[in-house]
Amino acid sequence: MNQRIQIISILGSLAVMAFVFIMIRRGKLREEYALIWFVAGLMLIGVSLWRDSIDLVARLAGIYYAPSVLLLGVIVLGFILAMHFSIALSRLADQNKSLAQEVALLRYALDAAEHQPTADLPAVESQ
Amino acid sequence: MKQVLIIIPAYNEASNLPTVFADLQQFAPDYDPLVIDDGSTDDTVAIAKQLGTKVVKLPYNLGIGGAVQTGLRFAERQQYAVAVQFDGDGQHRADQLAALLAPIVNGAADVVIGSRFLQVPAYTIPLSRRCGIAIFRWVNSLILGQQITDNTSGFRAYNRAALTFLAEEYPQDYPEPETVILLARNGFRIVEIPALMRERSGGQSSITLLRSLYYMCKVLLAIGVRATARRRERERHEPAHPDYLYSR
Repeated sequence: MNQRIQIISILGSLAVMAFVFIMIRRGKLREEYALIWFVAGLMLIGVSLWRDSIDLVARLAGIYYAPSVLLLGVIVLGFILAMHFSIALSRLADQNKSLAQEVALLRYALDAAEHQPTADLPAVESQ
Repeated sequence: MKQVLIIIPAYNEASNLPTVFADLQQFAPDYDPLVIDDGSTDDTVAIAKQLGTKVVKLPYNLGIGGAVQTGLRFAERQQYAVAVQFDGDGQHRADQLAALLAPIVNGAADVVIGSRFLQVPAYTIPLSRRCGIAIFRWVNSLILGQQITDNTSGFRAYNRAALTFLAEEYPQDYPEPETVILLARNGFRIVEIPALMRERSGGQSSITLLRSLYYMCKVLLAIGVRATARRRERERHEPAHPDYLYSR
């Protein structure tokens, strides 16, 4: 009777992982970001195959109502994902700022070079 | 090594730049002004070029921190001995520059901040801003054990060591109070001098209450993080003694 939900959840997890895989193959998702999704998919499969794991964790953690372990897991995973994205965004914003500054300085040097081809050129070497 | 670079961050300051440059021309003709156009949508760049100054044009708006850092990177790469931060809105006065540079010239400081609150009478500033300034003064003094009266002042001078350090890392929006901590924690000597400033000429201080609360929290968080951060590894620079600044 409960076999059905098990099959559905395994199929669902496989679908998630297949989707991630296809996205990487098409170059729409970078491996570094895909990894966390793969881990999530694997955990889903793990839980689907070994259903008692939920009860086990609940017992170990002293959680009275076992299904809430699943809920907790999802929330933790969501939190990790959100944090992961915040960090990735911060890094991107930083790189973006440096890039803009570099472009501005290079453009200045280029303009200067065009206007006075023989005079001493401003040094643009980076660190 | 070149001498003094005046970094002028400008975001839509076309109407103020001519006054700023007339001021600089009169009182600081020997220093190199550099306008950092922070993605202005008005004629800032055209006006600056008309005025015959160097202009570095950012491809889009980075905010004051990103703009100033661009100027510091310029100063670092072009071998300037000193960099000065000078607002493009006419708030800062060129006749105060000599006093601002003096502590760097005699080697008494790495960083000099022009303070509105060291002379008598102090400035009349709206209550809300005054509160913010007082909080920063208290927090920063507590962390540093050194009284900095005007942490939000953007009228600053950096010697070679300090400008090299900040070119690498400079806080983002509303960066002034955080920069004080960053510099002090990394062993730079900060000196404040009394500086006269003008009341804002054009426009209102667009900061709304909610916004200033947000900035307050953001900056306090940043200061807290800075205060617990480890010192950054930095190369030891020769102590800058640009005595020649005054000999010209």
